[in-house]
Amino acid sequence: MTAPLERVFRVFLDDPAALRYGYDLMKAAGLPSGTLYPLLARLQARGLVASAWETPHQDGERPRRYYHLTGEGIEVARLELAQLSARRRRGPGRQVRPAPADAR
Amino acid sequence: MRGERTALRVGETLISLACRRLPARIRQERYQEWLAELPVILRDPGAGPAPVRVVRMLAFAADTLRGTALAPDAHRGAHRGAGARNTAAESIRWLGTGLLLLGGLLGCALFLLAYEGCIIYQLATGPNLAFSVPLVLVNLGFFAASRIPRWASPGLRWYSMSKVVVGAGLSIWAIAGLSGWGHPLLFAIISYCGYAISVACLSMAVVHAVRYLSRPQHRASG
Repeated sequence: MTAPLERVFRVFLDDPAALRYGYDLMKAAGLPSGTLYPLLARLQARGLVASAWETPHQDGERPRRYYHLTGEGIEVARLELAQLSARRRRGPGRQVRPAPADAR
Repeated sequence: MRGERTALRVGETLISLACRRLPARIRQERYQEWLAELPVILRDPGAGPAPVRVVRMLAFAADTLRGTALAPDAHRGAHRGAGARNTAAESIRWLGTGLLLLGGLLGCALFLLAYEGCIIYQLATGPNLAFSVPLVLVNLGFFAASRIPRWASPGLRWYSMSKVVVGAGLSIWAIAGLSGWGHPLLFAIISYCGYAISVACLSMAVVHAVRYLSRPQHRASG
């Protein structure tokens, strides 16, 4: 999992029911728009994120598009973050490495 | 905020360029989505003062353009690697463009400084008609342009006025020197006074430029 994807998942999982606009996600995840939107498009294509348009404003403001995790998205995000945490807990010290020559 | 509409127009242009790289079937949808974010960023009270919000809004638009340039396929929902074939080359191209823009801005700033340096040099060593007359004429042109409603800009008006004043002072001094009329010191003093007025006008131009970016104004959508 890439670092931007991890950040986006964490933001979504902070409040899975919340509807997030692109700019809000950018601020919360600390990602630039050129990274965030392609990422959201990929997640949407995988069915992990859904989007919808808000109802048009009466004052002439353009309606914005908001995003939220789908049920599958929530499961996948939780699973991937849990796996990532587990990998981090194991850390590099626990990885199996060949013994140095002088230890043999 | 003053200049909001201009800033939005620049942002819209960048978004429009970004959308040109997308497949036709999603172009309009993305255009609407990204366009709707621009005024939100521009009016985000948590994003800092007005100039910072303008920069953020433009950065949003520019980075969206970068995103579609680097990975247009990603927006189509294609596989992750599909859009990243030429990422390294594209990144270098974008870096080059950014550096070029930065160099351009720096070049403009250096040019204006050098221009000011030339004026001071002329004041110190004696005027040259070949410098002062074009200085007056070019800046009269800018002054006239700043009166046209479409390009009306108090900053440009004060800047060009400052250069016209100093150019006129230098020209009078040069003409008097060539024709041997009057005492040279008198015209030197007139030129120095002209430069003092020019500096005052220049300060007004700076004040207007700062106000242009930070003064609140009624929302266009009102």
